[in-house]
Amino acid sequence: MNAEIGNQVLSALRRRGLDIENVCGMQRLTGGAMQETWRIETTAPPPLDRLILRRAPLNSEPRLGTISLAAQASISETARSHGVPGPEVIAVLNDSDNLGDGFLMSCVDGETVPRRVLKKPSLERARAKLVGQCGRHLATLHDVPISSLPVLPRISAREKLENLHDQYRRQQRPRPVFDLAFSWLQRHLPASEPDPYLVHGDFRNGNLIVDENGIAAVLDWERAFIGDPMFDVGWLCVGSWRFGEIDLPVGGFGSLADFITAYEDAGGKFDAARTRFWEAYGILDWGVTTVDLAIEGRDTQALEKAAIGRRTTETEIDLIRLMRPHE
Amino acid sequence: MNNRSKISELIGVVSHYLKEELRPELDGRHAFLTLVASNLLDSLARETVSGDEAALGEHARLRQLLGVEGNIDELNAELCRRINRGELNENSQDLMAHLSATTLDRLAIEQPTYEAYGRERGI
Repeated sequence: MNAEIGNQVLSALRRRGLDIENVCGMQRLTGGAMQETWRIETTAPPPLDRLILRRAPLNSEPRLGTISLAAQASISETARSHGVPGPEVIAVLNDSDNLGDGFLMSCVDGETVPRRVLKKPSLERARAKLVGQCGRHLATLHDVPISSLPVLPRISAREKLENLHDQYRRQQRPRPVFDLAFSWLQRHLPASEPDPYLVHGDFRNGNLIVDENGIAAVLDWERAFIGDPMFDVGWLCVGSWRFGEIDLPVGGFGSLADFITAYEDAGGKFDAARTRFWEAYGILDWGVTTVDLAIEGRDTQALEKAAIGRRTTETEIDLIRLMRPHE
Repeated sequence: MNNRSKISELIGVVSHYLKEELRPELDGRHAFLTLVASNLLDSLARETVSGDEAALGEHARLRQLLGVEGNIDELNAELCRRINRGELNENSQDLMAHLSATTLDRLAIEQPTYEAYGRERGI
């Protein structure tokens, strides 16, 4: 299979006038159950010597709530042109490429494994910059004109919550903490729908490439939509994405105050109540998702997914801590 | 020594083999999955020892909170109904105490290294 994909990649590049003699190495990278990521080494001179292929296997439909890989490539390029760091998209695949839906991009060096991003000694100076860079890059990407983007779903807070509630009801596994969280979220829905902006949808440690200078690339636009930009801030604060750095609410990177300063300096408009709403939403979204993954893991004998079922309770304690009234 | 501690100790032996002996021999994905398997086994060992006690505590608290009888699934369904009808919410100290105790007992089994667990238990 590797050799076949390699040859199809060479043909795809040739059709775009990029003549590369040979593929000399291929490695499937982990991450992404529905999407495949391959690292491809070629005989070409840099930057074409190392490529990343991100694709969905042939004839697979995008998962509910996600956008096509072609749309992801387009948003990533547009955001990059506005200053959000990301890989260079080299080719968006089409039917004649016979590789499914997907794209080829340049390989950005750096660390993506969350706990290594937070612990690696060589990244110590980079870590101090991460919270500020998160603020700046989020403000920049929220400001990308919607008219310059492919058509994206426009989703209100109420619709997000209803979709998640449907997903939870389909599981038919009542968990009182989740029911309380749905009730809390319904009572805390933003009074008016804020102006719509581009939302990344999964901006967190794990979807960022970090090198000695900090964030080298923002990845994984799969869940992008048009809606409340505070979604991204709340999601970044979800406890599970702090990877142990519980007292650094923004991604395990830093304080909310430092984030707000950087976000507002870059032109963003921060809102505390909506951020708290989306943090609670984000914890619940991840909690409900862990239940689905656990069921899927048991059905398909997939160890990693089955084990995620042991993480549902961590979202419950985070929801309790967030909802508990303060004296 | 009772049967449960014996089962738990044996699970621990298998987990130790996976993590300490097999994993160093493996690379990449399989080294990672061996660690996932070992951690899952550790949580099953804790489940064997304290799972029933956690469920008994949850059941007793549910009866007390709701004032009705029923098995644990029925009572949890009833609790969800009362929450959905708005009869109970986060301002009820009894509700929050029950949810917190139940969640912490489960975390002690499933994910005791999660930082919020230690924070809540004051350890």
